[in-house]
Amino acid sequence: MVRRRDFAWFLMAAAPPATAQTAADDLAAAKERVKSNSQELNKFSLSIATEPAFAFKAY
Amino acid sequence: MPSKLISADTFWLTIRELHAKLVAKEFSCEELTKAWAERLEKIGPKYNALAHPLTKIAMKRAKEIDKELKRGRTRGPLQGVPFGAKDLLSFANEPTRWGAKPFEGQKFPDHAAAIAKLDKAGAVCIGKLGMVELAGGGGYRYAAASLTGPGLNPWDPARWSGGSSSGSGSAVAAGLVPYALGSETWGSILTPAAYCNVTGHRPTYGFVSRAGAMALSWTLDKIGPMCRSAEDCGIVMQTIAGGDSNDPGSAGKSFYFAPVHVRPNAEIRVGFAPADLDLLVDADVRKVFADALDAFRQMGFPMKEVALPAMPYSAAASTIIACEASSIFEELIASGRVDQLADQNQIAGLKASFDYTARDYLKAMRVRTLAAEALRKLFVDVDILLTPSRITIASKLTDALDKMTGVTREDVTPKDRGLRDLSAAGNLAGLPALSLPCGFAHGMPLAMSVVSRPFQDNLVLTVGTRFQERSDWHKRRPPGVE
Repeated sequence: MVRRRDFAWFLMAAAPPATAQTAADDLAAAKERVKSNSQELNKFSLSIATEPAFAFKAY
Repeated sequence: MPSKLISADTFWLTIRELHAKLVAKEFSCEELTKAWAERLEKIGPKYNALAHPLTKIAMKRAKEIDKELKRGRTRGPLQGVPFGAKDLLSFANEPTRWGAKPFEGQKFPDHAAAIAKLDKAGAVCIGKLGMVELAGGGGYRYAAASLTGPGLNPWDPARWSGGSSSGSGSAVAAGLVPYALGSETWGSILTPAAYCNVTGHRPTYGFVSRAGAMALSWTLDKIGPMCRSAEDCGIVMQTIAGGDSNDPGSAGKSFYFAPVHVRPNAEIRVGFAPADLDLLVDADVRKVFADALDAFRQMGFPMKEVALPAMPYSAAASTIIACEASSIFEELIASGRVDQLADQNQIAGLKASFDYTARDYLKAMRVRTLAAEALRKLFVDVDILLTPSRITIASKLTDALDKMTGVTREDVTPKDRGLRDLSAAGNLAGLPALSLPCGFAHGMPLAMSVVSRPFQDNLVLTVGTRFQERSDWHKRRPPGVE
């Protein structure tokens, strides 16, 4: 006869490991965020006359 | 234990009060510095607030100040009053580690400009304060993203003090320094100020020299004071602000804290977005902010509902910070030493920043032009904006900061963006902001930010001072702190 607590142990042992966030996962997610930021900026329409917010001056 | 001359209450006095007692010879600068330095060394580590003590040097400086005071040579209200500095500011020939393992042995030969100015005013730096590694530029997941460990909140040490100026926030909150220097690229003064019940001022970009401070983002970094009151912030700002040819971003302007020159409340138009509060899930938090807005109404400020136009403010700010940081820390990232950082998400963010293109950066900087213009238009109809500094109480130490949920309602569609983007937009536009303690929810502090046009720091600080004349939230002390 299999006791309930033994059966529970069996289920846990057979269960796939919990997903851990690895360094590779983090890097992939960070690269996705870069793409996502880039896409969000690209969706925003800018007039040709809008210049970047820095002013180079030849002093 | 404090000496007979310095009581436990001394550690909760403002700059003016401390200086008055020094001038009245209730105690000497040496006695005062010793008491504060010992307190910072003893209690600072409990909150991971102390990065590096400067007790020996401080005591030597204190003796010099005492000689000056004896000769009647007064320099102003900061003379003889100790302070702490975020460890991204260099202190000559002492460790300046930027909260990051790869920079553990780092020292610079000169003081950062802000520290040098305070030293010239007779202030005494007693310690470098803990911070999130590299000011969190890569995007960190956990509060433990620091060489000195997670900043612990004196109001509840199971919660975060906020960052990246973690040590500055907790040290002022726990009465370990009368005031501290912090910095903000995007949120790093206002967040710990809000979480720790400290009054923190983010100056207009270019007001305070960045010379000698670690750069995270050249066009977004600001150095500012974190104090026990708005008035104290004004006093510190008057010393640290000013032009500096060593800082290419310097505005070349001086600052005078002059509340007397600010018009009456009835002539200062306040912009706010009440619908932003309706989105908050936590009713106790909503009530604190609603009461704070009421307090401003009762002070006689005319209030007007406003909203920022929809723009990709956060995407622009994130892109600019990442691109500039990727250049600043290029060697760190390319060499692989970035892997020595404490936070995996931060490491990943810095590595991934190499994927941004020049077009991404330029696009973000063009959006920035429009963001600044949108705010200029907003400020035609109002003089200051009022918004929560943070919409939650301090997070728990174990919370993943990039995965916070359940804060805002999903079932409500707001009619406009309100001021929810002000944190990103305000930093993009280089606007001044003052975080003011305004109440408590679940035993933890909350704060409102007063934001205004560029170089209206005097207005913002004066409004804050007036608010604090009729409220005492900023005077509350964390229970359980000696």
